[in-house]
Amino acid sequence: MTISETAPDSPSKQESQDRLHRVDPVRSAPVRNHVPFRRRDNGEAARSTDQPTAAHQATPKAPADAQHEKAPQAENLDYGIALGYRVIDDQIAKAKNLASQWSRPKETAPSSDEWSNLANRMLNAYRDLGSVTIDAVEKLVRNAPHAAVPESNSQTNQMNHSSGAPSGAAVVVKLRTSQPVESIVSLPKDPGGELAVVALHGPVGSDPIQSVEFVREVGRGLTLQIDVPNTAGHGTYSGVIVEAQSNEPIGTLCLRIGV
Amino acid sequence: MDSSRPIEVAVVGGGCASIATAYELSKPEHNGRYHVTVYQMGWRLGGKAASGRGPAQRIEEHGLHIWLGFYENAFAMVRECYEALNRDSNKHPYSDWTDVFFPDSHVGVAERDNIPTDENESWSAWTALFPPGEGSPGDPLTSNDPLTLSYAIFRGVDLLQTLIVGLDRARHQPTPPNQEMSAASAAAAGMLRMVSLGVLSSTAAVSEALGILGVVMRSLPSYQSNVVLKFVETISSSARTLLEKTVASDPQLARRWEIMDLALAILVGVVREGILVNPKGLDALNDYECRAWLKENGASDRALECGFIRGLYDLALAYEDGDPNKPSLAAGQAVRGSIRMFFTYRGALFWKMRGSMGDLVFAPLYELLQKRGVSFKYFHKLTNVGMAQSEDLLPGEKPFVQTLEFDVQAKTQDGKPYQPLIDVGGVEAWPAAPLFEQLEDGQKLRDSDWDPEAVWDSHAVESISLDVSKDFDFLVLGLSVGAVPSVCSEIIERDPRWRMMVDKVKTVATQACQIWMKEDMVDLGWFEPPITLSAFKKPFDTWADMSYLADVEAWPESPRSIAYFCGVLADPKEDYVLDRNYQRQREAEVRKNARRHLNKDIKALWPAAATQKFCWSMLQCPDPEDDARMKGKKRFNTQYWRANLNPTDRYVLALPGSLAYRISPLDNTYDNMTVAGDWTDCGFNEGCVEAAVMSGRLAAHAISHSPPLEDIVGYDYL
Repeated sequence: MTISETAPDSPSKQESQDRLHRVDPVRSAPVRNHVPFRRRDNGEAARSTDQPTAAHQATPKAPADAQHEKAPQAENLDYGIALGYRVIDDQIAKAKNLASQWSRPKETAPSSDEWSNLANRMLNAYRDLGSVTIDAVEKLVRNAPHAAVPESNSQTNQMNHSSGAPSGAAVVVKLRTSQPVESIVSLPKDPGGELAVVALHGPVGSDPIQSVEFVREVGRGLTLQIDVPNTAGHGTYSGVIVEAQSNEPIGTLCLRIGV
Repeated sequence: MDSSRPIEVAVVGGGCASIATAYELSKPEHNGRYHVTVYQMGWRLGGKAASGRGPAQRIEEHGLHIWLGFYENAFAMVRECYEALNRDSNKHPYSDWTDVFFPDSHVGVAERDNIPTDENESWSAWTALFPPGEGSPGDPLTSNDPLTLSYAIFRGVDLLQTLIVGLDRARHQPTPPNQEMSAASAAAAGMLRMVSLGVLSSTAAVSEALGILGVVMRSLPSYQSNVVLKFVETISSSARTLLEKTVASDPQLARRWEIMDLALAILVGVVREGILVNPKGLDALNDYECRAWLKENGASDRALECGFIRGLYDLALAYEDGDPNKPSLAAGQAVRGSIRMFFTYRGALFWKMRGSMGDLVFAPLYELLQKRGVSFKYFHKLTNVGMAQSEDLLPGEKPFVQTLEFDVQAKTQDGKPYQPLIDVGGVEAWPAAPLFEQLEDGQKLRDSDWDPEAVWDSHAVESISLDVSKDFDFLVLGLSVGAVPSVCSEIIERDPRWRMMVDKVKTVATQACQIWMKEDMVDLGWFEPPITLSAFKKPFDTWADMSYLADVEAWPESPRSIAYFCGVLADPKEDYVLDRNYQRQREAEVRKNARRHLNKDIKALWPAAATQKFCWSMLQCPDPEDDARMKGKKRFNTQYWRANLNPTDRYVLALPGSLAYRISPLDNTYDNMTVAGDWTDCGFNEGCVEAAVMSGRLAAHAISHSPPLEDIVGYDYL
């Protein structure tokens, strides 16, 4: 019953006695906090058990002050970020240096060896960004004891067989290799149809890995077959996954050889 | 009171929100507990979305009505309506919601190519085909509800990843070898290639970083926000540094980069402001102006002026006073709207109707509501909401509405209820003018150019007063906010919240134009699929190709293309009186704007439509005699345009600093009254169909506690 037929107080006024009154709603504002909202499969709304039932309820506990209560994870992050900044600074400095050399008059331009050397240094700097900053955070995320179970679209696939991320497209990775290889497939969604990876480019001087193929197998879904040549050097190889027909990018594939 | 009688609910106004309230309160599960009467000024339902059939039964709208793929509440209502009507698909062309709506994934924004001059402007259209989203809007939500901010941020990170890998792909298109390249050039080219490979490696790394960031964002409260902010800023900084210069020379890449730039700024801003752990969520940003907030969080000037952002403002008609130089949009709502639009759409980004909104949404709802016993009183213009005197209130009693005063604008000749619909090819449709033949003194009213929707119209055959408890128990005030001051003076006088609300929640006048043409779009030089395009030159910054509507109109000779244009209409700086003369003056201005738009601007999109001037002969006149006789620009006079000046027609704005002054339908200050409309605090505070339906559902909840608030999709969490 949501309608009251009695006046809230004195019954002296006939009009108010007869008039219907609204019963106040449970709340008068939306709940805006971050706690995931889930529904039952029948579509009926439901809150998780720790979900407040009204907007005025206690707000989530604020994170502890980093200055006073620094968790090990945060220290790892800080360390990773500090390294990341250094790498980026270094990389910008190298890029400036390169740019200044490009702008020199022709007669003072660097030799082709110098060019190659500079390019190699830049490549290494770029690669460091991925291998230091990212690894530190990745390690933190994967090892965080109190964090939610990671649902990254990237999934590490070891050697011969693994399935894709729970929230992304499921991909079985088949690797043919004589070396230790880690594969990271980032494919948020399987659009259906034919997929392709043109090539995986690796360290300077190495040949791209060409034998990469997506296969749709009845009953098994999407399989990614990669043949890693025995001659492939150690390092990170990466490429873009595209829809074969439209050539639109839909994800990334990264191999770490020799890890 | 007699407990056996139903509770009488007076719904004033017949727009989306009012009809949604009536729809909820008349649902069978209430077992007839509520009897709803809808009081409507003039001859038709729909409010700002009302439409009419004009000459040749052509559709005449207030503007452009396209539904977005996230309009969950609105779609659910219409889908349920068609299901409940249970029409025979062999007899009725619209028996299911899929007969009414079709997905429109092709959208675009216009970009100016050069520095504007009066004589020579060049624009190009950036069009995109958005991939289909899972499911259909209005489907029951199951498993993980996507409407959480953390989910949206995760999707945003996904988008960044996709764009970043796309940059790589685009930058590595093979280039033809140049046989005449000198040795020095070859070395430089080799160097460039290697540097490119370096960037590839780096962007892959950034892409990986974003993947990890997605995980972090999903469990953000577990981390110390200042640390996460550093990480986000690190990624943003490196991504910007690495990519901005490399894409500057390529327009396609530059556009991708602009979106990345904006997404990064949102990401940084959301983390910096602690939005994920703020109980107000994105509403905490609503005092910031959107562009200013994005800039503060690192967005580049170029990104802030890109087509996407201009399109965002254009679609929200977000120009204070209608002045193109005063774009203004609350940041929190803008971010919420963008997230809902791009990350939560189902089926398609846009959905178009195979007819007018009046005929395919309001007419079926009218039919269903009548079957449910809802009463409709047309030609009832509310003139005053009378409040109980303060001294008459009992101790502790809340203020309440005591009387509702109406002008009855017209009566039917036979005293029977007005029948508002006409038959157009087997479909019930709304006419563009009252059906005078049903009205007392109908011919006289027709001859007098009577417009019962006009604010200045004072024609009334009688005035009536409805009394609380006798004629109504509860009131749903479903008028537009622009009309509130004139009918709620007693409330505004006593209640500072309402005073602030009508002062702060501003509206904007709009202008619209529709043209019917003898050439198809390819003949006009538009080779893309049918599109909805925004961010074009003002005043008509938005254009939609509606050519498919020719099939549902009744032209002697069917037009081959139809175009709808719309935009804001600036208010004059000086005070004015909104009367018939003013209306005519502004309509003449809109006509002039439209002709200028066709003559000077549209050739940038339709290059074959004009050499120097627009080819007026391609306009199709509804009357075959006019079509044969009329020459030159006079043919434009047979097309359709309008200036939406009436307070009830003005579009509500989401200005920074204003949203906190909106009043919720759940507000219980007044014991027997609630409000409904896209101008209320309804959880999605931006003028649109979805906001109106959400508000209507909230108003129903305020009266009946149904539907549950958790079932009003999008009210909570995002």
